[in-house]
Amino acid sequence: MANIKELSKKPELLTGGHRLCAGCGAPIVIRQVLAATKTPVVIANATGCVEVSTTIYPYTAWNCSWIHVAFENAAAVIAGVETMYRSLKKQGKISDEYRFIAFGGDGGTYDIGIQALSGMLERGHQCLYVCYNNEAYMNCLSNSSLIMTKDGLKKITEIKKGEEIYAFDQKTYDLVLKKCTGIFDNGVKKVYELETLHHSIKATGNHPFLVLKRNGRGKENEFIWKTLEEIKPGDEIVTLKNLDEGESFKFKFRKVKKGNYKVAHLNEIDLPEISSPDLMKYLGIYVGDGWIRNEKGEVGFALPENSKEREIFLQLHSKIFGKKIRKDKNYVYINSVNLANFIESLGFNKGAKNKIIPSWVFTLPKEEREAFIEGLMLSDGYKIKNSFRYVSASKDLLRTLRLLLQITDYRVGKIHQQKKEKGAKCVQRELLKDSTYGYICFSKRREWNIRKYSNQYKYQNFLIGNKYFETEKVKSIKLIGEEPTLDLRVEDEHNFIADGIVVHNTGIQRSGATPKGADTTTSPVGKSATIGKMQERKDLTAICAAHNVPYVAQASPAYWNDLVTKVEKALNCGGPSFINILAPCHRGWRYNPEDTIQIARLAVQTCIWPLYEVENGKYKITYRPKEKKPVIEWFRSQGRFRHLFKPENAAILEEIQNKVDADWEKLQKLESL
Amino acid sequence: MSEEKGWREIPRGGMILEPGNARKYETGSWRTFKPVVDFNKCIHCLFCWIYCPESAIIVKENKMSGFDLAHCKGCGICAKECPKKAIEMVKEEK
Amino acid sequence: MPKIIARTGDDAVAEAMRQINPDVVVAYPITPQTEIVQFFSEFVAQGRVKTEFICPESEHSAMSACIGASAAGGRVMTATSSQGLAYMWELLYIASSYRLPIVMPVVNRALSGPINIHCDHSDTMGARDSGWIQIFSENVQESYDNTIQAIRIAEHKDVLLPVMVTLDGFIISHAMERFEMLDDEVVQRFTGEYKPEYSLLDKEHPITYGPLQLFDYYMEQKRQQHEVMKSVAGIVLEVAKDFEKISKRKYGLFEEYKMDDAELGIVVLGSSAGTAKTVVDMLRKEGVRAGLLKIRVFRPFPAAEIASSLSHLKAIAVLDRSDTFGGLGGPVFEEICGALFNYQFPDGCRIPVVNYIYGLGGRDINLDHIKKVYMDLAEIVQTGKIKELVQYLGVRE
Repeated sequence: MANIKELSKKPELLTGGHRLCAGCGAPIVIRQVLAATKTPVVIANATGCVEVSTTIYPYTAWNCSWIHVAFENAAAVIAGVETMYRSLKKQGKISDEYRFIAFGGDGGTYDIGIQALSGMLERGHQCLYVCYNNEAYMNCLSNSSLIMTKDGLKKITEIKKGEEIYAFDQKTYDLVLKKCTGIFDNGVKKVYELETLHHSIKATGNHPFLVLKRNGRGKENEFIWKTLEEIKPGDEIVTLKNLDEGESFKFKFRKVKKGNYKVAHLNEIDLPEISSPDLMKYLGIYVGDGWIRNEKGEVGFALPENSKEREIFLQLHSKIFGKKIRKDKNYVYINSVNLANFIESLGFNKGAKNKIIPSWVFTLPKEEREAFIEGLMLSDGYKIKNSFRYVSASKDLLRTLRLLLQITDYRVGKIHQQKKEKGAKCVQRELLKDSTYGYICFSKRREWNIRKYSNQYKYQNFLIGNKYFETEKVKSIKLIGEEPTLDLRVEDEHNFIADGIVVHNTGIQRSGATPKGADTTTSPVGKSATIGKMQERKDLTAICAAHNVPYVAQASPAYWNDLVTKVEKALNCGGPSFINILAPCHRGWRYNPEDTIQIARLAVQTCIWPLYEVENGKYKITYRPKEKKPVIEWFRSQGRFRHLFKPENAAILEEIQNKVDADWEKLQKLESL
Repeated sequence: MSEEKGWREIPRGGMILEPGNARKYETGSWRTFKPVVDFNKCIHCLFCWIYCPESAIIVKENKMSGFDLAHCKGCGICAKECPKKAIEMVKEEK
Repeated sequence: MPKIIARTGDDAVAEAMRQINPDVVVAYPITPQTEIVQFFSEFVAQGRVKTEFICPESEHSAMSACIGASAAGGRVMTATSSQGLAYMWELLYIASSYRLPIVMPVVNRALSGPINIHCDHSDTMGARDSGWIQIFSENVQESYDNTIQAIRIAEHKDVLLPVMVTLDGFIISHAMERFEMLDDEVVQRFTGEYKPEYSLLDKEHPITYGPLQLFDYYMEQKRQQHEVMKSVAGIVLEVAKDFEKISKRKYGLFEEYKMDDAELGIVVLGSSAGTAKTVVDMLRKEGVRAGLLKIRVFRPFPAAEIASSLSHLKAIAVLDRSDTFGGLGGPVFEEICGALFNYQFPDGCRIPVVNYIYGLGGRDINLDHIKKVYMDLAEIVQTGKIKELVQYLGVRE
């Protein structure tokens, strides 16, 4: 039993003046660990929050010897220090008792640091490794992902709860609509780009994708969920190739009446109330060649005199709007405030660099989509042999166009970039300045004679014959860096279509231990998985215990007495030791800074972070909550779990509660061995 | 803040030779709220001391004797955890 | 009395390590360095050294532990090769920037891909900017001598930098040669006791190693590191002088072989120098004024001194046992050209200098190859023209 007054007499080994956030759990953990030491200590620290914030040159907050080397090797460094100590002690050059402690965040311990930790534990160095654990595990998509919804293609950031989103029915392989049950900002994460011939998507390494598992000749093939990290080039994933025939879009535009506007060019004009192939072709030309100047009430198009495009355009214009047009050598102009406002309201955006295809275009009937594409080709596209090429300075336009083409019977390649100098010809125009352009190549889909060669085609494309989906081989997966990410959850099917690819519900952790479940049916594996063990990707405490070291434990700074006692035991166990300590982070977990200890307590009371020790292989629970609280209280306490406590998620909540209960039972059984 | 030294004056190898000199860096200016203790309620359990991330609770002769306001960042953990509610977070005057 | 024995390079280096008797050795085996670790661990098992010896789980952890141990104030050694050196790459920079006097024999082996276990200098050259002192050895004797001298160089109070002592993989490491081993006490007295100024294990004076240095300090720290390299040459020569007293063998920053009146010269590092010296002798008999410069200390590069030594030649060929893949030529060639330009001929070098990249992945280099190089040089002098600035020697076209 530790006596707090005795502990308080020791000199502070971590001083104030460090730059960790106000209310950060990590320095509380460190202060408690160091308070438990009775001899001089040497600390090795992995790169991370603590290391960076406590030693900003020329200041150090450490009152004891301390060394930081790199991210993954705190355990190896402290092993080196301890070995030198043993050597010098043996030679009689040192007589003092020392203790050696390594501090690592869960980042530098669980993955990149596990090699050095394992080595240190295995070799029997008399060192204590303390992991200050402050991260939970979520998988997610990049903020720039485009989702196929009932209202068309939208950015993931524009999706609202309750919106209907397209999903893949895992039993019938059909296209279905499901409601979105929540969106969640998941912060900046490391993101990979997965590319197939016709699609690309950015997601975190743990995001699950629907992958075809070929079981060999004579056996049934099936779909399984695999995380991006597990996917290899050559794996076949499910992509969207068609939507249901849509409906013409009804515009909700309100004209400006005479008298409301000062400009003389109010000019009457007939505006269509519903979309049509002609209008879509017209708008296609607008995207490439058109602009709007609201202040002049003008809509303009860059269509050179005597060109085929101008001819077609004039025909369309007179058919739809019947309005007078001003012409000069290179451009045509329509002076109408209402037309300008109308086109602006459609959502194509202005400016060459940020044009996009608005979501409603995706809901149109095929004929109208084709007309739109034709219009685009008249402006900035051209034909090369049997394929087409479309050029644009707007990357977003190319991304949305690529997906539009994919569901309109075209096959599209990747987005290429090229730089051209001022004066160079681009399509039919001369560039006004040095520019970087993107372009895509595409061609009409071939018709497969499915009846004649059904088995062969089925072998190449498992979903051939399916109206909406097909499979594509993964070409490459590259780490591209850190990006802001979002979680999206969909009811029932738990999948949706992002960037044309079928992906799993996010916010769900799929560990390597996902149960095989429905082996005998053709439904894919992955019964809606739980959040799993939220604070650990792997049970690192168990992994360390498996090294058969004298002492391993879990602790929480809310139970300082328990923590201090454990540290004392660890330092004096005569061999390597490991303690996993929860260190709440209010920035990442989203709660008020003053609640750090409260949260650290709640984790224990809900049995999400049980306090136990394994001393020479013997398990012992060191604290039993008087009243075991339900896990929902843990989730309720932090913003990062906001999406979980909706009535729709009751099932998942129950699963997690069951898992926590099961783990707690297991721990008690281990204790009785 | 210390005056920046030239390359001839700094210790070799990037070492910092003065342990705990971060004390000279005052983080008190981070605060919006500051802790105030009512010694009539305080039972000197020292929980505030063991839960403070900044080592900003001053303990003298086994008794809680005040706050190191040069470093206290005003996180409010001490006020939250005090079993006797003896600490109150008060808005910092300008 | 020193004895003459027959040993392989790895064995000799292991003997040197035994005589040095460091406080801690953390080493991970990799061909062709494995024997060093094996022999040394036998010494540990026999109780012939006081060393605490750890078998780490990787080279990265090996160098991490060496840094920890050295910062804890004692004498630390390790050894590696090729992929192992590459694996500890990030830590090499850290060891030198923390000014830790770790001594590491590196058995030169080609870097993968494709995998090749034989000799070339790509591993050591890949680390030439890491801030380590790099010393090359020609044969077993030099490997042994350099390892012992490295301790004094590294631990000198005006240096305090880690040192790589290199020996060619298989050619030196596994080839049996006669060499003279000094007495244990002589080596002990020569290396002396390491008395570090700072230590993590000094409880009265706790220190922080490895803080975060932002843009306001990092550059000053590097400027300081840059300056230290300038003192190394002088100290290498000082230590060599002391070593001569106990061994009667002379060492310098480089070796000049029949350079005084030479017209055609080759610059080479490592074991190929031995082959080249034989060619020089042969050509001298035929009346060709051939000469050889063997670089011993590659980092810090003794540019002024080498430029001066080469300044009277009529043509120079630089032999590189590694490629830079995109640089001017091999790494030694780049340094030589730079040295001549800056220290002898700032307005343009009148001596033609050409580069031969040879021996990659253990490709044999023999007397004929080197003779061809001299013949090429003779042709250059005669015609005044350089046919090819950089070429591969001994490759099938």
